[in-house]
Amino acid sequence: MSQENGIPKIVPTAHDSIVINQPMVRDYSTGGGHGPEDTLVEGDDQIVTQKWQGYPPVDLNVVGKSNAPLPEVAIPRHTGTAQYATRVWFPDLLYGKLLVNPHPRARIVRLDVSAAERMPGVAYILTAQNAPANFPMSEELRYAGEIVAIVAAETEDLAEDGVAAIDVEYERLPFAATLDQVMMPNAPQTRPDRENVNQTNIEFGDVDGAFEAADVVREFTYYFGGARPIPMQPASCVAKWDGDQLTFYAMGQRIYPHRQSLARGLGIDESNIRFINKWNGGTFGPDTGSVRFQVFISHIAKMTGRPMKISLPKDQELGQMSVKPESLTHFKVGATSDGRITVCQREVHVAVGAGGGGGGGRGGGRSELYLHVIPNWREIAYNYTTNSQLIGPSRSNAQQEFKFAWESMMDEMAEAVGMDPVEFRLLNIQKPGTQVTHESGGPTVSEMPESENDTLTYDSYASVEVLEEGAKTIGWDQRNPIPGGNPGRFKRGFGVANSQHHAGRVGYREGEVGFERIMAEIALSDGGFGGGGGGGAPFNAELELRDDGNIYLHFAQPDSGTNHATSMAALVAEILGFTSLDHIRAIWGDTDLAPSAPGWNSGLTTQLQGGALNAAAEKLRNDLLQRAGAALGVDVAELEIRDGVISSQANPQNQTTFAALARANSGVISFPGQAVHPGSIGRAMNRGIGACFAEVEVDTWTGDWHFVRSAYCHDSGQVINPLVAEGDMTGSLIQSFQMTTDAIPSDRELPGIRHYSVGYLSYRLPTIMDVPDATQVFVNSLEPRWFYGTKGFAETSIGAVPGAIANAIYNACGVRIREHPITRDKIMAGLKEREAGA
Amino acid sequence: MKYSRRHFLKAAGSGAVVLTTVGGYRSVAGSAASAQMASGIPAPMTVEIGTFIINGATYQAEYEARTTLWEVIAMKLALTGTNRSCNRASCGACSVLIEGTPYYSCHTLATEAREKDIFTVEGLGDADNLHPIQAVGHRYVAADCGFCTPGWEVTAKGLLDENPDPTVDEVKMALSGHICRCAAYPAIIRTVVDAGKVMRGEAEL
Amino acid sequence: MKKVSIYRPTSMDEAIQILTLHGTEAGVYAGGTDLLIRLKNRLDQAPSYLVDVKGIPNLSYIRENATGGVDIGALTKLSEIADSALVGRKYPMLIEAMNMISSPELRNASTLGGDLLQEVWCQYLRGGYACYRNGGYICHGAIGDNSYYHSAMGGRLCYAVYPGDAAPALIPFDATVKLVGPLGTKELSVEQLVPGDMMVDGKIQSHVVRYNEILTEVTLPAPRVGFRASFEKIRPRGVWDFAMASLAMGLEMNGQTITDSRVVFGGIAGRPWRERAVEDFLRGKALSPELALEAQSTALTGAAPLKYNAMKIDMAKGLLRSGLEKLATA
Repeated sequence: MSQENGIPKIVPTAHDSIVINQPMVRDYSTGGGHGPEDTLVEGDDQIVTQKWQGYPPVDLNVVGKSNAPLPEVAIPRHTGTAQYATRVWFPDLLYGKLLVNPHPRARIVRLDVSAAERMPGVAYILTAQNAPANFPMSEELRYAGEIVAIVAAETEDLAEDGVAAIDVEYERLPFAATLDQVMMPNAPQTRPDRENVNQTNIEFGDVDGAFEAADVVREFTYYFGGARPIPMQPASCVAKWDGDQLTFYAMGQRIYPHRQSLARGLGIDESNIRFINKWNGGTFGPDTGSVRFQVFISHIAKMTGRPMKISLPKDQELGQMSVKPESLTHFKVGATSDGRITVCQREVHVAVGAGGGGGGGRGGGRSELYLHVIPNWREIAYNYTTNSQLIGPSRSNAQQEFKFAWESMMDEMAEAVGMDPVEFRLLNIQKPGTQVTHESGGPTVSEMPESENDTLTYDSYASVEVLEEGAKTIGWDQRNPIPGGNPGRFKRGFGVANSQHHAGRVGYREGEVGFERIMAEIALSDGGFGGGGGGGAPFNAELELRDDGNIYLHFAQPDSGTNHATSMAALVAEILGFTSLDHIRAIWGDTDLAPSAPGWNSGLTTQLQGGALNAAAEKLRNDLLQRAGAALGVDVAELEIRDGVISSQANPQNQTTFAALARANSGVISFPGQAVHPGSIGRAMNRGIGACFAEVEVDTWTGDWHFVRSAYCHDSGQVINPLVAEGDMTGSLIQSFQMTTDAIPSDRELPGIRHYSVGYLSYRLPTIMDVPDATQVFVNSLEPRWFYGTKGFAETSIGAVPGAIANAIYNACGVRIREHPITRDKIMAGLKEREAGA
Repeated sequence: MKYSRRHFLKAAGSGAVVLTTVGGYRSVAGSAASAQMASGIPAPMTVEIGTFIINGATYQAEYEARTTLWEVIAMKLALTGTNRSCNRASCGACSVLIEGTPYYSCHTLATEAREKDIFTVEGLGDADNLHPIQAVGHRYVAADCGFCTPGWEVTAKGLLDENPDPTVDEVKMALSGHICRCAAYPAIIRTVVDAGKVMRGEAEL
Repeated sequence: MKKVSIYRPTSMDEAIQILTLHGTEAGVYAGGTDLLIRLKNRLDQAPSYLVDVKGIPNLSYIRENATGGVDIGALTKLSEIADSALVGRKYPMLIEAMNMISSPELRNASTLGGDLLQEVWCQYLRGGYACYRNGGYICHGAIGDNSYYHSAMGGRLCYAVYPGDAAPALIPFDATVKLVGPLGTKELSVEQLVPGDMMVDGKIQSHVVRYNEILTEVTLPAPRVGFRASFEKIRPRGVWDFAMASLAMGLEMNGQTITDSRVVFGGIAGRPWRERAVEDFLRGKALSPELALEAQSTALTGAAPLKYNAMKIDMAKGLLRSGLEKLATA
C-alpha cells in the first residue's frame, strides 16, 4: 500500500523482494558472445560493451516497474471466468473416464465391452479394437496407467460405471518398474524392442592423472526418488465438432504443436482444427504426454457427434503427464588442499520410464558444468528403460533431480577441504569471463553465430553476486559451522546451493546477427515444431495498432499463471514509448486469432515469443515515426514518442496520435515479427545462475522440521515486473520445496499408480502453514544483448532448492540425507544414528 | 438439518420407477426399493429433483444420490466458476459457502445442499464490479494460475463477513484448507488482510 | 462415485431397522468425509445403501451433564467442538486436537462419530487393492511401502494404523461412548470402541460397532482436580495430514507428583496405543525433565516395526519427552 492523502491506497508492488542493481558499465572485456560489429570502448576505468541493441536500460517507464497483470488475462482468474478446458461447457457434453492398466507390464488377452455398452448413459467405448487407424491404442502395456479403454457417457459417474463393467483380462508380464528392479542382474527386458540400458561416456582432461595429483579425494552416492509437478487443473480437454471442423479446448503450453499432433493423429488437415487454450490452472511442463488422450477424445466426439470432455483424476494423471525420473548418482571428486576442485567423475543411473523420451531422459543435463569449473571430467551415464511412467519436463528439465546430488556433493566437499560452503562455491564457480570450451567444461558447446574461435564466454553472469547477496540477506554469518552445533532441542541451520539453467537469452529475433542463418537452417528441416518448443519453427507474432489508440498483441502462448503476456506487454509498451500498460491488449491462445509458434518452456517465453513481439514493435515504432514525420513535416530524428502521442521535440504542440495515424490508414496498422530458437544448432551462452539459501529448524527429539526462511537469489537481468517476478519465484521455491520432500512415484515395493488415489493426500503439496518466509533477491545483471538488459530466469534458481534444504538440515542437526526425499522419518533415523555414535 | 419426505418419495412411487434426466440417461430404481416397501420403510432415494439457491437465484436440477454439489453447480447448472481439482477433499479449489460456512463442494453430496443458500465465486463480483478481495488480489497477484482462486476467495469472503479485521494468523488458519499450487500464499494473505481494510474504509483501491 | 441409495430415517428405530435389513451393504452416513472418498474410489467394501442419520433428532449437541462432565452428540461437527467455549473451559487439550484434524472445511463437515469410526487410510486400501478390508486375503501394507500408514506395534491381519486423532485425544479424559442397537444402548470406553483390526460381522474394521448399531454420544467425565493434558502430532504438513505419530497425554498431579496418568500414542498402531508401562512408571514420580528421559526408556518396548516404519517409534518416544516437558512447565 502507499500512503497518499491520508488513506492508504492499494497499489501493485512487490513486498518481499530486493533488487540489486549492477552498474551498466562493467567489465565485458572477455569479448565472447559479441557480434562482429560490436566495439569495446573505455569508460569509468572499465571496459564497457556498446551493444544494447538500441535499447539500453535507461529512462525506463514500464520495464522494471511493478504493474498488476493485464486485466484481460488476470481478472478472469478472480471472477471464475478464465476459460480452462475444465470450464468449457455445452448442454450435450459427453464425459469421459479412463480404464487404465493396473500392472507395471501386461498384455491384454481379453477385452469385452459388451456389458459396459449396455450400461445406462454409456454412449461410446474406445479400445484398441476401434481406436483411430492413425493413432492406435496398444494391447501391449508397458507401464501402469496406460490407457486400456475410454468410456464416454452422460455423466462422469455413468462413465465410471461403464469402466467398471468392462471385462478385461491381462496377462501379467515380467517387469522392472523401478531403478532398484531394473539394476538387478536378472532384470527382465522391459521393452521387447529395446535393450534395458543405454550407456554414454563423456570424458575430457586427464581424469586419472588428476585423481593421482589431488590432495583430497572423496566419493559420495545420492539417490533421487523422482518427482512430479502436479498442476491444480486436472489434465483435461474438450473436443467439439461442427461437420468436419473441430474446435478443441486444451490444457498445455503450446497450441500449434498440439494442433499438429492432433491433426496427424486424426488424419485430418491442421486447418480443420481451431485449437484454443488461453488459460491453464498451472502446467509446469509435463503436458506433452496429453497429446495421446487429446486424439482419442476428439475421435470419440467425432464418432458420437457430441462434444466431449475429459478431466482426469490425480492418480490417472500420473500415467498421462510426464514425471521426473528416479536416479542414482555416484561421485568421485578430487580437490587441492586449498579447496579447488580439479577432477570429478560422475556415474549416474537414470530410470527413464517406458517411453524413454523427454529431455530429462539423459544422464543429467550436464548444466552442472556450466556452474562450476571442473577441468577434468568423466561421466558414465546409464539410462534404463523401465516399466514406469513417461519422464520429461516437470517444473524444469533435469534440474532438481540432478542438482540435489550435485549440490549435496559440493557441500560435502566443502567440509572435506575444511571450507565454508559459500567460500568453497565462490572459489569453484564459473565467473564472467570464463571461456567455455570442451576443455573447460562445456561439452554441449557448439558453434554459434556469435562464437569466437569456437568458444563462448560468460559475460552477464552474476555467480558471485547471487552467493554474496544471498549470504547477506539470509544472515549467513549467524550460521554455526559445526553441524548440529547449536544447543537445545530445536536446532536451526543454514544451507546453500546453486543452480544454473538454460534460461537466459537463448534465441534470436528478426533483424539480429544469427537470425537469418538459423532461419536458413530451419528451412531445410521438416517443418515440424521441434521437441519441447525449441529448435523448430520460428515464433511468430503480430502487433496491431487500432484506431482506439490501443496496441493489440497477437501471440499463441497459453497462460499457466506465468503472466508472460504482462511481461511481453511491458517490453512492447516501453519500445513504443508508453509509460503504462493501459493501452496494451493481449489476444492469445487461439489458432484463429494468433499466428503460429512453437510452445513455451524453460523460461524462454519472454525472449522468444516476446522477441517476435519486440521485433514487430520495432517495426511499428519506426513506421509510426515515419508516418508522423510526414504528417507533421518534421524530421523523424526530431520527434518524440510518448503515451500514444508523437510530437516535435522543438514544438510539442505540433503533434499527432497513434489513433490518428491508424485512422488515416483504414483504422489499423499492423506488423508481424519473428524470433527463433537455435535448437540443435546450439545455444547462446548467456545463462543465468541462481542460489538458494535456506534456514531450517529441526526438532531433534522427534525428527520434525520446518523450512523457516529462504533467500532465493536470481541472476535475473533487468527484472521486467518485480511484483510478478516475486510471485513467480515464490512458486518456484515452493514447488521445488515440495519436490524435495515428496518423491513421486515413490513405491518401490508395489509399483503402480492406483495407490496415489486420494488427491493431495497422495501428493503432499505445501500448504499455507508450511511455507517459509522468503525474500527474493534479483541481481540485475543487465544482459547486454537483449532489450533493456532483460533475460529469462524462470528456471535459473529452481534446481538449487533441494540441495539447499538438504545442506541446511545437515548444518542444523548433523544428519546428511543422501536419499531423497527429505522426510521426518529419515531425519529421525539420522538423529538416532548420531546419538548412537556419540 | 432440514429435510422433508417429498424429496425421496419421488423415487419410490412404484417398484420400478424409470426416470429420464435432462441429459437423457435412464436410471432404474430397482428391486431394493420393493424390498423395503414390504417392511414399511420408505424406499431410499437414488434420483431426485432438488432446488438450489445459488447466489440468490433459484435453480432446479435432477441428479443421482451420489451426485456431488460441485457436479450440480458446474456440470448440471453450468455455473462453471467453481473449480474442481483433486475431487478428494484435499485442496479446497471447489469451496463454496453453504449458509455462510465454507464446504468443499466436491465432497458434499448435492442432496445436502438442497434449499440452502449457496454462495459461489459468481456471487462475489464480476469484471465490472469486483469485490475488494478480487480487486486487491489482482493488484497483489494473489492468483497466478487462478485455479485455486475461486475457492479461497469465497472462504475469505466468509471469513471477512464474520471477522472483518482478521489478523495474519487468523487468515492463515481460515485459508489453511486451500492449496495454492503456485504458492501465492504471501500475496493471498496480504490480499485478505487488505481487502478487509478496503471493506472497512481504511484503505482504498 | 459408486452408485448409492440414501435412506433418510427420522428415528433411531427406523435407522436400525434399515441397517438390519441391508446388513453390511448399508452404512451410516453423516458428514461423509471418509465415506465419500471410499465411494469415489469405488471400493468393494464401501456401502451401497447410505443411512443418513442427520434426520434423527437430538444427535448434535454439546452440553454439560449432571456430574459436571460434558456430553457430545455423535453428529456434532468437529468445528463445533473446536469452537465450544464449554469444551475449551473444561478440556482445552481437546480443542487443540480438533484443530489439528484435517482442514477447516472438513471440520465443518466431519462429525465426531465419523472421526472415531473412520476407515484406515492405508494407500493400498484406498487405492482399491483387494486386501483384508476390501474383499481380499493379503495386507499390502505389511509387504509394501509401510512408512506412513502402517503399524509399528505389530498387527493381526490388517497392519494399517488407526488414523483418527479424536479417539486418542479423548482417552486421557476416560471418555465413553454410547452405541444404540436393536437391543438397546451399550456404553463403552473409547479404548473399547476402537481396539484395532477386528473381524466384525464378516468385515475387518478398527471398531466394534456392529452393522446395525449407531454411535450416538460421547461423554467426557468431569475434569479431575490437578489434571493436565497435552496433544502433539507429527505430520508431513500443517494441515490435512494424518499423524506419523501423535501423543495424547493426561497427568493427574498432586503438587509436583504424578498420581495417575494416561499415555496414548496415535498413528503408530492399529488402535490408539495406550502405553500402560509408562503410566505405571510415572505413577508417584515427581515431574521433571530428567523423568522425561527415563520415561522414554520404558516406552514402547513391545515395538514391532515393519520394513520402513521403525522411526514412528522414535518419533513417538520424542513426543513423550516433549509432552512431559510441556506438562512440567504447564
